[in-house]
Amino acid sequence: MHIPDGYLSNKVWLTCYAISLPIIAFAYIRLKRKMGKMEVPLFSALTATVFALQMVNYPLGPGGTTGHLIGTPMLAIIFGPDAGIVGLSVILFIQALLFGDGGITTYGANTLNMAITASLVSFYSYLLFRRAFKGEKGRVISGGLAGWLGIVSAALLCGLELGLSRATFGYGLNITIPVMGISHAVLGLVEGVITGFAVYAFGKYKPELFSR
Amino acid sequence: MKKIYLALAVFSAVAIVIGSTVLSVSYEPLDEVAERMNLTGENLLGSPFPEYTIPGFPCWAGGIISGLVGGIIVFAIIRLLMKVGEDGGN
Repeated sequence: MHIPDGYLSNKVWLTCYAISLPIIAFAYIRLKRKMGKMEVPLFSALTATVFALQMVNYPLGPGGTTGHLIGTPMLAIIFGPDAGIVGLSVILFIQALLFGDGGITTYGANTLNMAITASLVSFYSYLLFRRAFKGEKGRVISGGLAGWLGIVSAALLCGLELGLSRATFGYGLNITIPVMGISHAVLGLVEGVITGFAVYAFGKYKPELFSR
Repeated sequence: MKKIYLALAVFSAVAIVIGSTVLSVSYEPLDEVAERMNLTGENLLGSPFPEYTIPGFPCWAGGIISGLVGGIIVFAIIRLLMKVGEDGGN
């Protein structure tokens, strides 16, 4: 889902930058204000783990396509949406700069999709699901559903950006949104399972993180 | 508490090794569509370790080194970002 340089039209990638950079800055300021000193090492370690998990490409998609975890939902649900936004923004920056995974012009779009949208959707949907699903089992189910929604929402927005860049990408919204949405609805099942497991594990060993 | 860090380190190491060996091939839905359009997706900045490889190293070894180095850099940057301005704040 990392969009390389050259796929998005100038209007689209500039707009994405204009939207995402202020949100990342705002999330960073809020995170610094709200996150306790004791949580910082664990947040840093989990973000590094998310970077590692993103390297695994599992071939479960339609037509033999592969997918990878984005990891945003687990960061956002465990440490809050600001942490998901900041953590993924750092990961995407390192990936683009050092490994050529995602472009520089498209960094705004990639953060808008995988950092911002996935964080907000997964965190707030998790809170909603928790109203319906109580207890330990409910935590796993809510985490799983929110994780799936997080990656699917990021994919749909990615499809929107690509479809709006028809001049450079070649396909319109009628193709890009279904392709990205349907494939990630399948690939996202793994994200859901891993998020549910992570939320369960952290809820068991660090329940105070979920007291908010 | 230390168990969590140990578990995360093990998960990371396993993910990096698997992601650099048996599950290293990436062919995402985005790649499939782009291939039909003959889009190459060249990045504007030449990255030092393209696609998690290191020139002169086998792909799997480059992937493992890239994963370890990348993970450490991500960890360090987050720690640094969360520390900036901390001392002067109070």
